Amino acid sequence: MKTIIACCLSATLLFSLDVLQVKAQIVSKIAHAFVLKDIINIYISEQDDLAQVKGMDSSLLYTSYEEADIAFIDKKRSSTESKNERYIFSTSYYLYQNDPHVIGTFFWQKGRPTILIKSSILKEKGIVLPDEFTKYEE
Amino acid sequence: MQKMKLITGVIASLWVPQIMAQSMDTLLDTLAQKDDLSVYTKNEVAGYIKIFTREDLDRMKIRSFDELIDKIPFLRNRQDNLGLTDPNYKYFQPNNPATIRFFINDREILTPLFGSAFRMLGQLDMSYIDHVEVYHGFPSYEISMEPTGIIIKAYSKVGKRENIATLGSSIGNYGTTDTYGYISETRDDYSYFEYVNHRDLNRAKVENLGSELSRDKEATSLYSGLSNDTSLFEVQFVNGNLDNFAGNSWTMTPLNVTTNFKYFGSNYAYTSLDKSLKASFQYTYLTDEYYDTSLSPLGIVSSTTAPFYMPYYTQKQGFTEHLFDSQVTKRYIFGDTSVLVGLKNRYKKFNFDTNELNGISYLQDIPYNSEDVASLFTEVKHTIDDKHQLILSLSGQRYFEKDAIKEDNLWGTRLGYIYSEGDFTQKSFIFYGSLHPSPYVLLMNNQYSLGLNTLENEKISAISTQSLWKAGNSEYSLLVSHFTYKNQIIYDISGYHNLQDTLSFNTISFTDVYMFNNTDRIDFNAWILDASYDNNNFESGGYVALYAKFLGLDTYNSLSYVNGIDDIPAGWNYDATITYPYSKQLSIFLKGRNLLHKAFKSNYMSINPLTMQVSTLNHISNVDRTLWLGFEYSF
Repeated sequence: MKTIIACCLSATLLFSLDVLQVKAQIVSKIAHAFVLKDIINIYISEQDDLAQVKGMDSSLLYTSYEEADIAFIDKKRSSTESKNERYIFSTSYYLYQNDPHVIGTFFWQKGRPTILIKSSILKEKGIVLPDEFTKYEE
Repeated sequence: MQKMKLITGVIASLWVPQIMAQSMDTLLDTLAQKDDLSVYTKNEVAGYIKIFTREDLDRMKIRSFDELIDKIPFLRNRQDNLGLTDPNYKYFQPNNPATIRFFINDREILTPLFGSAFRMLGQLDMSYIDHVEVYHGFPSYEISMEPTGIIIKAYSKVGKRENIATLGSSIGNYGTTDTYGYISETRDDYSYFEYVNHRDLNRAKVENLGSELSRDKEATSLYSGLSNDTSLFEVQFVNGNLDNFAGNSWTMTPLNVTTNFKYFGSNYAYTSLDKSLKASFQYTYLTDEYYDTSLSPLGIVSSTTAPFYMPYYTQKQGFTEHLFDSQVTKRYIFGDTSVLVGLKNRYKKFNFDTNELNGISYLQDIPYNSEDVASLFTEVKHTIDDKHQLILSLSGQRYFEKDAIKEDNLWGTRLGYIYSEGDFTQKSFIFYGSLHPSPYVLLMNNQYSLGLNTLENEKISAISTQSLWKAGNSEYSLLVSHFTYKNQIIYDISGYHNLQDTLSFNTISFTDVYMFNNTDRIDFNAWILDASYDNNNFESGGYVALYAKFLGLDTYNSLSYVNGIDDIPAGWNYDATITYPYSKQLSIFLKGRNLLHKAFKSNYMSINPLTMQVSTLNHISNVDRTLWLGFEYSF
């Protein structure tokens, strides 16, 4: 039993690490583009697949939604919570389109991973992102 | 668990610095490749697998399933006398449904009466497909409980990976047009994908003794998929009108030969979160009407006056077919051994609605109108250690037949051994199994022989091994196999028979995939097949395909080769696609098929059984030299 589990886990681990590390790096790049701090408080919904990247980047400190500088959510949260000052990214395009508080999204579109950022909120809040993010603004 | 966390941490710390410096574009490209949907659907231990990813198909701007055949070792892209895609076509010979099976998701696309529907859909639209897996060499019963040599498994696009509305259209020479659109979205707990296509495929015409032979195809397709983490409910509808090339004309001089068909397929598939339990329920409805009229006779029918037969020049046949499929598999784990148990029932119902010859109805009440197949299989995987794995599969089928058709029991077995260490993997399988004829062959055999001839099942034994290894930027594969084919069912002027000789085949296939970077690569394949039929037949083939991005363009170039057979020269098929992404929303593409006009050709033959006069039609190109210009707009 131990061998079979170890084999499955190591195969999954090697593959997953590959994918998860890439996802972790994308999350980290997004967080550092918005939040100009060395250590960033970040929240990712537990139910979201993206939550598997937790602990893979030492510059990101995983906290509650209330304490987060930037949050990655997959479902709409209550309006009270949404009014708090933090950057809200979604992993759902539907949420990005329908929740005015969501500033950007990291999701799959047309079979590819994609990032979109609302330029209207960037202007409103006076946020200037690194050049490599310009192409994702809309 | 502590140890696992430690390993994860160590590997993570090794990885992070490597990818820190990568741009966001590169990271997204890397994720697109490593997290492709095929990663979650492929079954590495099921057999020898070739994957066409979403990105591959996008770059090819693939128009139809038959384009993939050039890249499947040992197959040739050719069409039968009805203009339908049939890689194994030989004059007059029955289509064996077990040779190639065709799936969309977990739904087998087949016609209950004739078998695999790859022939029917081979040249039709496939823009709703995300990726395709091809399994060679008698794959696991987990994929197909009924045994088969090759499985083409296509997966539809899913809403959670699309999240967009798209409209695409293209035109091709000979007046071909193709238009499709889809909408897709992910809500909180589910996603949907709704797709529609209309294709008017016009092909080069063939002149024969004053008749114009056409392989045009027109079809409207709908596909709808609703899915969440555990379930997929899908519905597909295709309304097609096919021109059937030479039809059944004895001199291959048809005046008009067409098939109109309506295909409706539906499927509900459930997979538990831990993947240990899978269940699916499928219903397929198919109705088709074949109409043939020719300058020469299509056949003869008995008559009450001398000479007691008369030729007929028009033929109208209609069928209605139903398929009910239900399947459940469950995996159990006992120590280092996992046991997969599967049960399946497939009920096929078919009716002749029309049978008119020279305008006179000869419709008979045919008692043989259904077949029920019950299957049971088990697959035991034993992990000896982290390098060695043993696999034993056993399968049994009971064919419940009606009327005078003999009921049948089939069994098969598959023994596998997988060795893997670092970047090297060795897969080896031994297979033994039997193939059951299609209901159409059983019915025709029973009618021709007045119930006197019984066909034996075809029997296949195979031994094969594949080495896979990585070196530098290359991934190599070497596949060697030997198999024998006993009791092959053949058709001649006196009816259906089992071939007395046992055929044997030796095959070798070598593949190298060289990655230049995350997005660019070159694929190379070469194969040979040495067969013991037709005085030792030797076949060879292969391809080189380059997928590359440069100057802001997405490009695909592919040159494939198959050796000549009989008097047919070798086939060289060069396909190329250039895609220009004008903006995030709009892309424009130019695609060429068979640009050298040297793709493999086919010969066709027909015999007048009264005079034994032979008619031939030689060197007919299976792939037209075609240019497509199209766009895709997303919003």
